Amino acid sequence: MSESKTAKEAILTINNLSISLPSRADRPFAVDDVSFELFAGEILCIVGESGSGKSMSSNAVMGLLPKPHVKVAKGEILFEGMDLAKIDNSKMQSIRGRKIGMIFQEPMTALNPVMKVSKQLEEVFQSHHLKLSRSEIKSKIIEMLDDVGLPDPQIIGDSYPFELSGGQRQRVMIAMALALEPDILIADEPTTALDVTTQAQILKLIAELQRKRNMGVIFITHDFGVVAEIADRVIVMQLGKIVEQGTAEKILNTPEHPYTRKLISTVPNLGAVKKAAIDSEVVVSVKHLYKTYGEEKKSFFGKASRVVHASKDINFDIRKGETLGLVGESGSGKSTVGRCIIRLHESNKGAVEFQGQDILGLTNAEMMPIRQHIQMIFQDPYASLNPRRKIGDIITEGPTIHGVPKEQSWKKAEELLEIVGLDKFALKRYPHEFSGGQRQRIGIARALAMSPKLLIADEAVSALDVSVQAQVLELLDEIKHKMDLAMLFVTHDLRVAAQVCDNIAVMKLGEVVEYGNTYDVFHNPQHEYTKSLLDAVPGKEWQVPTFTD
Amino acid sequence: MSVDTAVTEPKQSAMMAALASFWFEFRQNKGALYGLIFVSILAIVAIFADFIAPYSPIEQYREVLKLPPVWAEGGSWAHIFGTDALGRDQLSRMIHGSRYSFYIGFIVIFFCLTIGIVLGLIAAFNKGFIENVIMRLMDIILAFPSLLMALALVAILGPSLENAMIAIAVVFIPHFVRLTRAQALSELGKDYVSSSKTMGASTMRLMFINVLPNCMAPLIVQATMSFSSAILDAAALGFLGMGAQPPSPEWGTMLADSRQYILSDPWLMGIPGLAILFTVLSINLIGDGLRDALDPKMKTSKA
Repeated sequence: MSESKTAKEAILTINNLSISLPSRADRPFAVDDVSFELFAGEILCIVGESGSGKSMSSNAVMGLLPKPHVKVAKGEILFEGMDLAKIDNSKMQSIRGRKIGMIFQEPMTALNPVMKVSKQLEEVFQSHHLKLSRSEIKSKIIEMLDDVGLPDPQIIGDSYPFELSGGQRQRVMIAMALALEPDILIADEPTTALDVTTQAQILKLIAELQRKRNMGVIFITHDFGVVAEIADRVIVMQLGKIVEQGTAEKILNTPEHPYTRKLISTVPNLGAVKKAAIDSEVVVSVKHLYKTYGEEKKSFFGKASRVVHASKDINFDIRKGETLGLVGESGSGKSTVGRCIIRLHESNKGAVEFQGQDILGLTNAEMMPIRQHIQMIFQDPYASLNPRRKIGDIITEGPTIHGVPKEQSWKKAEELLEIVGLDKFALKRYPHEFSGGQRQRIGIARALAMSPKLLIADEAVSALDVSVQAQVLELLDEIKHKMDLAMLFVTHDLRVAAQVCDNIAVMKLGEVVEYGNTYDVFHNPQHEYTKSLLDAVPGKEWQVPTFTD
Repeated sequence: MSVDTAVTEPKQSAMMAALASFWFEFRQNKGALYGLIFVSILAIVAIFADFIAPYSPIEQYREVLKLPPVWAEGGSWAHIFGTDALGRDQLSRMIHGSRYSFYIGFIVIFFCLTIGIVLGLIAAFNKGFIENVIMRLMDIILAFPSLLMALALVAILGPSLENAMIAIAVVFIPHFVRLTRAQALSELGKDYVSSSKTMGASTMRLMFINVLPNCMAPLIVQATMSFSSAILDAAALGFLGMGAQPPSPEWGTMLADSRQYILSDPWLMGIPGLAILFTVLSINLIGDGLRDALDPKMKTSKA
């Protein structure tokens, strides 16, 4: 956290801005009577959950609202004496990029996939009709790529976006946004799609460039950790309204508005609590599990492919009532391990012993009685429920397959919905009628319908807003205790892992590099990689305050 | 802390709501609406052909050969569309001919959908050898010009309307197989399928209960478009003498019968020709409307 700057001139002033939504939307205004200022040389974070209108307000500044359905209804956006809400498109174009730059969440879709990086950067200069020669532009591009910390700018410039990693793409995006040295940078969730270590680097880069160029940065995020890492000032939005604004110091540690307090209290604390060791019976024991993708063989129609080791020599046990966290960055193979245990993927070598019996070699028929004991909760609450089937049919599918009579399984489904906190009317509805959090609850009810002994939660809360995430985590914890389940909790989020897991296995490139008690792993990490992961968690120095109300 | 779990009782059945939303989207496309009206009228005409048609389609009125339609010089209200070279009432033949169009369309689509879906799902669920065999076979069928292939098949099977329909179905099936397979493959990657697998669902259950309903939207569109192509191809085969045989009043066959009079009595070809044109156009417009209404990406706003 850097110290807040005072008595500065506002470079962007937003007065009573309202943005109207089409008549069929759930509320009349996406952004409702919002006023704030941005000063030169500060990072202003706008925080809120999905649907809070945080992106809409910045899109309005850039003139990027999806017209004609969504438009500025009233208010003004003052920048250099102009009202950006009213000026015409050609004027706006000269401001975009040149005076105000923007970076987006998904660097893959924000870059043109069939154009080389240097060409895309060139376009920025060309579209603003700057009188620069080709060689000047070339050297500028190299300089810019160098500025955002890309090694070998020459090579990067000659690459296509798909040849770069997510972090490199985001760096290119930043270089593009800053090419014309704008006064304001708007960053819309720029690190949400990135791994934690990459996120840390990008945050550092943005803060560095901001200081070097004395820019005003509007940083939109849902993550209070990121806020703690980077913000000078913070605006908290809820349902299109600003509920609280102030210095980062104040908002993070002594928030006043009940909504801010609620949001902050749902942020999982990084410091793990020491938990008692569990020595109940082992439910599942993974031994020397190997899984590779791709085979080195040529067939008549297929191409030869290279071999990727998704998991190498994985070993762990999960006991009754224990939650084992499997953490790692994307591509570390953590999901693969979960899917190998439940046999969605077939593994190459090793054993998965479920209650003492190796299940990897079983045929489908032999596997049937064991299937009901191992269940899974999936990441995407939208893709994991069949959109064409009613909730009741979805929840009772498992029991029906295993021969439970319909009446009995529907009665059980009603009870399960009650356990996960939904009404029984939900049974007769279709998935699209539910919110993300509600769908995840349905997914949990579906898994529980089989009365499992082992529950595999594959990034089960990653797609949810922080307050909904907290509720679902609470529910999972409650269920685990009530039913005495063993749980494999796959996640990339160390804060969440610290909160829910008894033991942690850290994975890197298909291997477990550290395995131990959560408290020990978090407070006394042994492996270099674990240390770097923990070091990269945004806002790690911020101790999440607890409120007594 | 307010928990996000409030669920109200369904106000109306979800099916009705889905239908209402579908109808709302479909209505946005005016062309599709007109197409639907035209095809509906045609369907009524086809169903009640026996009552609507003023004469029998095969009875010959020797006293009035090649009578022009009522709006042309020398026309008569007794035969509104005139008569053909054998003195048969054109209007009655047209009305009865519409039955053939629907008959051809429905039968061909029925075969295409059932066989196409089954083969497509089998290909999607059995990666490797079986998939290769099915898909390469489909590629081979697609490699022939479709009408030529149909002609060859009819030549083998013998010229009749039924054989023409079989030939057309065979030619169309690859499109359905490919579409089903592509849709099924994209659905197979979704976690609701994984979830069913972890429950121990059988392959049949995965195919027909879980995956198939999610593949139907594009298949319905394809079926509608193929419906019109089937009518067109059947008419072409009829015109070449390889489809419906005289004296059946199939539109394509009617075209063939009057080919020699195209210069002297153009309406003999014009009327069935226009009928085919409007029917095919209307059905294609409906197909367009269906695609707009069924494809969630094309929806005017998220419901």
